[in-house]
Amino acid sequence: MNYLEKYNIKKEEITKIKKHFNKDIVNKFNVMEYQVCKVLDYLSSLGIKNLKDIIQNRPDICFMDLELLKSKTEKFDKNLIKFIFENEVDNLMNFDI
Amino acid sequence: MKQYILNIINTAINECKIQNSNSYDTAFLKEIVNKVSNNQDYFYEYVLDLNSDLLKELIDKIEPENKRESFLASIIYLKNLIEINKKEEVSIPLSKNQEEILYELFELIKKIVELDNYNEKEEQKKYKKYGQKYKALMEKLDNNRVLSIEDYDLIDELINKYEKENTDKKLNEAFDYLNTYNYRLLPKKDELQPQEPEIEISEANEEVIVTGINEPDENIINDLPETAEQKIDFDIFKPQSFVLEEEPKKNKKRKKKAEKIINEEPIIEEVKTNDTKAIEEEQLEIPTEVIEEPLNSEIENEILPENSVNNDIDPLSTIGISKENLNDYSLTLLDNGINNSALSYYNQNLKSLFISDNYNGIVSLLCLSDEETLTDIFNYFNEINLKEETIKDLLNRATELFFTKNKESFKDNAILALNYNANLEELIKNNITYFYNSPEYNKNKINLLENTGLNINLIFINKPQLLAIGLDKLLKNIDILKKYNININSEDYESISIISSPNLNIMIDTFIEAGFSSYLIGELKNVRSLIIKRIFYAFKNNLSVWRENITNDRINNEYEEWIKKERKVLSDEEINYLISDYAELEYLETSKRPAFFTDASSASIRRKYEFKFGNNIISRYKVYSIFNVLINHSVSTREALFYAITYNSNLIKNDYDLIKKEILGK
Repeated sequence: MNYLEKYNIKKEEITKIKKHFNKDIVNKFNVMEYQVCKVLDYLSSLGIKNLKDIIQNRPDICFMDLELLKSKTEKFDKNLIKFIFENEVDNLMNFDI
Repeated sequence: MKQYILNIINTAINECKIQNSNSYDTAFLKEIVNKVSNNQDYFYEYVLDLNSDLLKELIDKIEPENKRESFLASIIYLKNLIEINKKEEVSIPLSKNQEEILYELFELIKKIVELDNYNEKEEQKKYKKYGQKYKALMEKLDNNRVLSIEDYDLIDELINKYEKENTDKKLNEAFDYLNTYNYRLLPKKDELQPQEPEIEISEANEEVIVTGINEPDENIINDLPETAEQKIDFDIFKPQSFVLEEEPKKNKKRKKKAEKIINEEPIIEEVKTNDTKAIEEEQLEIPTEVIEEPLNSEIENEILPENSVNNDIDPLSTIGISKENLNDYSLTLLDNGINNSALSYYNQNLKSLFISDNYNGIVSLLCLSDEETLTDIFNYFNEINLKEETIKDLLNRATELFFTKNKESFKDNAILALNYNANLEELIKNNITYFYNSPEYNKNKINLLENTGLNINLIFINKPQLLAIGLDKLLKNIDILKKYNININSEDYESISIISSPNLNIMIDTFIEAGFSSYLIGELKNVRSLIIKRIFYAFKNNLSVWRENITNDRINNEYEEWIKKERKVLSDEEINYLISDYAELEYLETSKRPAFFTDASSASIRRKYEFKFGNNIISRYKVYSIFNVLINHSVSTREALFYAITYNSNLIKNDYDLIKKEILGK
């Protein structure tokens, strides 16, 4: 999961993420690096900074179909979606994400 | 770092021993007790065997302190008296009071002996429970033996316990060290060969073909799933403790050197080149006991493709992947080699389906799958007419489903979903993570959710992503909704998404305190609508979403921790029990519940869910759930009640102070 460093997630934070999950999901992050990077690139492009929290609280978003994720987020104002991702990541599902 | 880890283990071992702070010999005291038990006459003499230092130390245990001196004086007087009696062979009978003093001292000795016996037993128990584990770990480190996952856990636990500052830093350093330590000890692919490689030497051109069978690297074994039974309760997105902090760090220089030797220079035992010597030197680094130590027993239960390394051609180069593009995990997998049958299947059928940049996905598939698995899975795709686009999506977003170990997972999960009329194409698109879980886990999860009254068919159709949320959280929230009388069987299954929220009870309490109880109770969609509106309102006004006016002086961190961990919504029955136990709650019930002279349902809802403090509404269910947590931690009744009332409430200072005065009287 060291590739997460390029998203400004520090080594210690990566260690914490690894501790948070079981090994199987850590392996998924390794196997599906390409997919995870696509999603994280997109979220970064929206100006979302707390990618670490998203990975920890909603890892399923990292494996979401990018086009589907785009269609869901584009329904909302860009600033609102940034606010929700940064403040209410646990309530994303109430916004159908 | 090794010394640091050894020191920390040593500290733990020492802690297992109960330190005896007494200078006296408890064995001697035991002997006195035994002698008195066996010989009643000795009761009148035992004091003679206690010297003055020992007597003083014994009496120092007596409370209160101001009684010690007089008690000691009485004992010394008695001791002298008994000594004279014995010496002079006269018998001056002891008064009843003097006998009582002797008895008190004897009781004290007995208690010390009993305490010592108890301590001894505790020590044995503690040692049995922990000490042996710590000693075994220390022995492993001392003898350079491979550490297991449990050992990592233990070290993690000890560092967390003893390293209060810089814990993360120390953990990182320790695990870096341990990974390197373990990696050095683990048998490598070119070193762990149960069968001698067959070496065929062509006489004509001295061409060498090595056809050795490589054992899987233990790093790969660690990455394989647990046994089937363990997989049943395995929720992929449930946070769990993770043992290995990082992939074992590799000595890439060493690895590259060995690869170069394998790929470019044939190994001929008879002809020792510099490179072969290098391999031998590397092998010498590995202690023999490591090789003799059995690999993780899980390997016997695992389905691992029989991979082989093609030593003539680098298989990666044939599929256009460079090692530079791979992450550490894929490089570790490559140690076990690529499965030739998977490679052949990939070249024939999968190359066009994979996104070419998905290097790690491709390599993982080639290392951890085989032709038979892939054929079976693709046959099933044909059987259910899965679109090529969806298959492509699965390969790239859920590569693990194609691994040998997950051979049946997709099929079994698909059958389960189809039983609930799910549209597989939609399910894959909307919640691929459903397929990440084992079928057994999904089945259990669905059964439990179904038992709560949820309509699983509607979830599969409307909110399949809900199945990616941990079962604990879902069940807890369903329970909360039921306790607040919010009907979960709404036709509007869009709103069922609220059961994914981690702080549902906090949100509901916030809405009750904002005056929405009669709007909220009963309707699922109203809860969701309020959540969305609240977030939108906070966004528009640049406010915190759920906590306003909560200044730090109102927060007790210790209480908050307890509440976070233990808070649960109480049922009406539990609330009634609580009220009957505390008069202060009776007061709340009689004086703070809103009174309405109407039978309207909104009035009864408000009476059920609200307390009124002046103009402020306080959630009644919140008060009891917080009060219950605090009272269980022996917080005083009034303090617990005050904290429960004001907990997370949007109270201006004046109102907060008024409640404080009313409840705490200050």
